[in-house]
Amino acid sequence: MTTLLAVEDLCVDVLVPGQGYRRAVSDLSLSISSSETVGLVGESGCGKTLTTLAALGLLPEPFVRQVSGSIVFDGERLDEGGAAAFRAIRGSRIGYVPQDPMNALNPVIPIGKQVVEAIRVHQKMSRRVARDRAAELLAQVGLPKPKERLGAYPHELSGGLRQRVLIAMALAGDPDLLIADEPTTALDVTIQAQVLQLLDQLRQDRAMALLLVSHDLAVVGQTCDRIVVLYAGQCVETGPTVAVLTRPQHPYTQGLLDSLPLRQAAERRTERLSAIPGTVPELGDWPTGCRFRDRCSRAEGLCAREEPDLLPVEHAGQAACHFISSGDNIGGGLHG
Amino acid sequence: MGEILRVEHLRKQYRVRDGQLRALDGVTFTLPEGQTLGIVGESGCGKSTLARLICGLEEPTSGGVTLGGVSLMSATRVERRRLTRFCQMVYQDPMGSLNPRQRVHNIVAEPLRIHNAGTRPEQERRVRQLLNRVGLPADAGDRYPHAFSGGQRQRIAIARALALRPRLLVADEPVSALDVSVQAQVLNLLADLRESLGLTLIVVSHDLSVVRWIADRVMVMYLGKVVEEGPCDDVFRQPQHPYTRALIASAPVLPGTPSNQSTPASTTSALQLLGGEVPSAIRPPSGCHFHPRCSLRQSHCDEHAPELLPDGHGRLVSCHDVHGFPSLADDLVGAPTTSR
Repeated sequence: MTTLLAVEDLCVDVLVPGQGYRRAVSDLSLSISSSETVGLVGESGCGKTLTTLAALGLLPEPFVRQVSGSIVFDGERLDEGGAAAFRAIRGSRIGYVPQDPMNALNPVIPIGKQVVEAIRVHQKMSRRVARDRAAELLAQVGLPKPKERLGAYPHELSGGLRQRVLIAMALAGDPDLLIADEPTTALDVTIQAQVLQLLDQLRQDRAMALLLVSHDLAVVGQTCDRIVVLYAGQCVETGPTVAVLTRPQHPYTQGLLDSLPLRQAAERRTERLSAIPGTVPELGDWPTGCRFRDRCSRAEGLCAREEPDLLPVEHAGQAACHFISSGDNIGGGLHG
Repeated sequence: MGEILRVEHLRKQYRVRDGQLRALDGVTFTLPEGQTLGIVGESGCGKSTLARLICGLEEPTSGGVTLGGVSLMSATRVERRRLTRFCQMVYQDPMGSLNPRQRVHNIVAEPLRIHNAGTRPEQERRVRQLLNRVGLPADAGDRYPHAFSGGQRQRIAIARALALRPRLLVADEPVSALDVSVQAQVLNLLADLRESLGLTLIVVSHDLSVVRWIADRVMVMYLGKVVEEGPCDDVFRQPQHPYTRALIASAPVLPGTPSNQSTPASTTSALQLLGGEVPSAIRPPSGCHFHPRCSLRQSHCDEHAPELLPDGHGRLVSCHDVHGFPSLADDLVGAPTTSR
């Protein structure tokens, strides 16, 4: 497998009114090989959306800016090439499904026209041919009666169908990589299952790589080969999905998994959920040393002084915690 | 255990441009004191409408709600005021349900002031006690809602709901707007309060795992009707109605989760994906509302609506496949809740 997208040591700053620039993403590295599925998980404000926007060259500068790091797609350094380099790739080789299907489509333009536009930006094609292609794409994403629906406006479609239209638009350029930002968050569970199955099937049919951004560990667990867990703008743990979710090494990943009622449901409900105390720190207002230490039951003096590095751990991935050393399995025993 | 809530043939229709939207289409159940009822279903199934009707926030089109033996519909002004104290609600979005221009102590004291509960100093003491009870710092009262995180705001909303010492607390999606790591804190708080105050809880949620953890009984709704109701563990372990089965099978499961095994593999694979979408409540399908999406559909399902009947194991199910074709209806009485 060849590396398709490599984000290295990415730092992103956000302009906070009255406070200047605050660091929202720090030294984040992420890579996706061709036809691989990677899940980017974390809670609100952890930097997952900013990371994907940076990879797409869509950061709303100057309010949000990439300060350092590199973004390499298929061997080409995109961030040095400026807007033109991103434009050449975005939509054609990287497809993007934005968050929130309710607002991502233009409400006053029929969906067919929006899909046609997405196609004609990248391929020279007459309107008529592009219209046929649009109907074909909409059929592929499972929109019932696509030909008749080309003239429909977004408000005439349900959330699940709108999400399918957005996926069709993202597929218009026949991308090698699809980035989907919370593609199912606004949807009901039965529709979520349909959309996840669709994404998985499209990925297999087209040998496409998928970067799935989600706050839902179960969604990522079901869809992705590898998982990257973010906390406060940093990667705290990464590795093969099943390994990370069954043998989490970082206290944050462990805490997150333990706090899910899903896990404890099968046992008795009289037991309390083991919640992570405190709240996610404010943007850029991270504690010194390890950013999770305020909420961590194992934090010691060292955690306040030194930032832990991402180091290899026993589940073949990496974790950033002072209490884990490679091979030496301290963290594994705590869980379960 | 006495009966704290009785809901009978409750209907709610909204007039919309293309006709009548039947948000709630004849719901009947009772809730004993001290029990926790979970209501699940997808958007548009009527679960929030039901919660609002129970709290008297909206008037039903027909049917009745009886709270602690007093009918909400025929209550006098005075009785109605008392019923408001009896039953309180916690809303989904703590951002929208708290007035941003009011200090927290004012927000929590407002119900006390409206109901003239105690003198000013007593009210102040009660507010401090409530904020402490929901785990907020002592100085929280002097600040504004924006100074708090989502989880803390939901704690404020819970404190406000508890101000008048309600017996029944209705929580509509109490944790869905919160970060995952904070959801557990708020769920624990609700469970603690239930124990220490002897509250009866109704938790409305689209998240099955939340309901499974907190509820004693669960009610599954689809297009304004109850399709299945029963003890939480039973329903999740052995769902009877095809919609309940599909709903449970659709929820993504973490690798290594015990609940993985609780649904037999055969059921899961057969019903894994529910095709189609929830139809419009303005023109619901004929017969069984679920028939267009149902894998067990038979010829009569689009003609006769199944009734919600006991299955003989303490559960109510509304499905022809479970009960056989109509005719049994008259033989099966003596259910814990009324069968029409």
